Amino acid sequence: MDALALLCTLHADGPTSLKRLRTGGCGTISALVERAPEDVAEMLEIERAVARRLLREARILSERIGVGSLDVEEAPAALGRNGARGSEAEGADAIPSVAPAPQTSELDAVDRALVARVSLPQPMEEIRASEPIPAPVELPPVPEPIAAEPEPVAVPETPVEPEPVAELDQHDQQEQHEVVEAPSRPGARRAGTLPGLDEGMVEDLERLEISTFEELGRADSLTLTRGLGITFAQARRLRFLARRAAEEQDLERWTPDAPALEPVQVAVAPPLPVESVDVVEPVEPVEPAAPAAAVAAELEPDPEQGVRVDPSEIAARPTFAEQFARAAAERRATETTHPGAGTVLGWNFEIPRPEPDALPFASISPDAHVRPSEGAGDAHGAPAEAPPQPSFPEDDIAGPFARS
Amino acid sequence: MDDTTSTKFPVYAFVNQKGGCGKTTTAVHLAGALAARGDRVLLVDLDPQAHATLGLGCAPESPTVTDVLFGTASIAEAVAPASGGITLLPAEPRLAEFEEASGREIHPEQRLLRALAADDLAFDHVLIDCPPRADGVLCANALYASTYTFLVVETGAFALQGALQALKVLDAVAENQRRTFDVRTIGTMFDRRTKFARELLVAMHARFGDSMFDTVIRSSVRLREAPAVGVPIQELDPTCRAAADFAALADEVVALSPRVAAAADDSAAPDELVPEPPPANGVHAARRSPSGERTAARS
Repeated sequence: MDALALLCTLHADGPTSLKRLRTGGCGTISALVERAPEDVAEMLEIERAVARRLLREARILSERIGVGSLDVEEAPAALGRNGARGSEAEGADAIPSVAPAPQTSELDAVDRALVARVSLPQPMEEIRASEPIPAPVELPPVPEPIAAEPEPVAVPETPVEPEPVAELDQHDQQEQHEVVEAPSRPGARRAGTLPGLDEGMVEDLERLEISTFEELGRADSLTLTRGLGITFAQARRLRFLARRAAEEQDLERWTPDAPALEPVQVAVAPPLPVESVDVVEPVEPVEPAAPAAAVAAELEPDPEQGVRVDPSEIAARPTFAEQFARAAAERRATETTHPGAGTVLGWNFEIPRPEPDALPFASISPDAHVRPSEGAGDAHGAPAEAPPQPSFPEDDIAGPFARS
Repeated sequence: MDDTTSTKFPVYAFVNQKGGCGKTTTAVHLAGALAARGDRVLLVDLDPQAHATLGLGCAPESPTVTDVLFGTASIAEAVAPASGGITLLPAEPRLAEFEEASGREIHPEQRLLRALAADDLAFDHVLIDCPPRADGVLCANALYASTYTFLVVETGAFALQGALQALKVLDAVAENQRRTFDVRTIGTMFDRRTKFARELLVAMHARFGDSMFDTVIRSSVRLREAPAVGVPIQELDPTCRAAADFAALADEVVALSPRVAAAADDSAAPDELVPEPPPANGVHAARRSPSGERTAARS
């Protein structure tokens, strides 16, 4: 099986794409890798982003199976890495190891992206130089040390040297200055800032008018799939990584503006003299750190995560008995009664009594309740005798079904 | 039967020890694709389940391939026209009786080859759909008559294991018959949406190398519908991707065929136009080109 055929089967339209590539002059995968995405897109009649993705997969596949100057059969080193060719030397009975092979291509891609991320072509100093440096943030004064409860044990005779507060502050200020000086929003416009984000994808993101991690995190996965030429799962992963990077940026941006975090280093009270050890004065409990509240106030919840529910809107679900009673009450309220017509009440329904004019047979009259078969004659055709007429009072048109 | 008994046309046997890997589907639709090119195609159903027969909308009637193997009928008497321009040698469940009766026969594995070597047959391609059991006498008949052995490998969990077991059986049969098999591998049921299938295909590419066809048959709903309709995929939906896959596979198979390839290339030697005759037991080893020998099966 040709490596180009394998590529077309894995990432293109199989024999159709293979035929077009060969017709277009790409007989091998090495020749395909050297082609421009525009040429491949025109050759296969696909979008440019999809062509770029195909080329990316072609590079990965060619690196993986060792296609280059060597044939597939002559590349044991590259294949031995995945364990497939390594079993070849053991004979035909050995089952090729398929387990190590999966994820190597994607892991390699991730690893390469991570390496590119670590070794950024543009160092941090250049980033600082290219972007305006904001003014250093005025740090609030260090609060007074809170007196802590002394421990009634082995108090050293010599007073403990106080902590170098000034030096610590200076060091922290340097760190905070570094954080402040770092670009607050590097965005998604640089390759390698996210795993798997290469130059081509950055260009496509610019075409899609996506420049920050927030916008990338909010983007539609299907739009990213079509625009970047990646799979839907990769688009979703990219969005997740962008959201996480945005959250990290938010935390970094908040850090210098949170001077209240400084008192976390609760200053220890100066050592008491030995004579005052036995005197234990009640100390007020330490209040929860104010910065935590500030953090909670500043960190707005992600609107996409969860639904805010007002507890007052949640009402108790009515029971079945309540629903039944309510339905019965509504039915009683909407029930229309016809005062002129009598009804026969059943268990939970009523049978409307027909009007005299609506009776099906002419022989039936309100005055004479006679079955039709009784007047139709017997089986031998002899005329039946007239049945005895029941006698009802004239005003009793309802007969025996009248409501009492 | 002399040592030079052979067929005048290429014979392809579709084998795998594992069942349900697409042997019948590949044989039926590849026969349809070859017939759609205008070639004369004979499809031999050697599976007692007779799925190829049923998949082409034919009801098994006597005589069948069972009678051919028992020697009570010739192929010309047993074949029946099927849909898609395919000539079918149908099977029936009674075919399993041949497995039991073969113990009392002399050289039962040569029955099909002897029947195919008749002079009144004129086909361009003969495809043999084998039963799943690769070490039975039915599959031995197919292997003995075959010019090329197509190892059908599904891109599934147990595919490679079944393929390797089939290669073991081929080794044993080749040693028993003192011949070699030109094994080619066909990947089937490939679904590129699953990562497992993609990785398995890469592993198959690394395992089988050049003996694997460039075309991999992708899974398709149309391939499941075609047996219900009783037609090959080229008649059911010529524009679907499965039809494109089998058309591309047919191109590769035609390129394999020495006679067709030689007809295309006039520079070929005359003695290469006829497929290599498989030798009889214990006489001599087959003369094969070095590239097509066991290296293909072991590559």
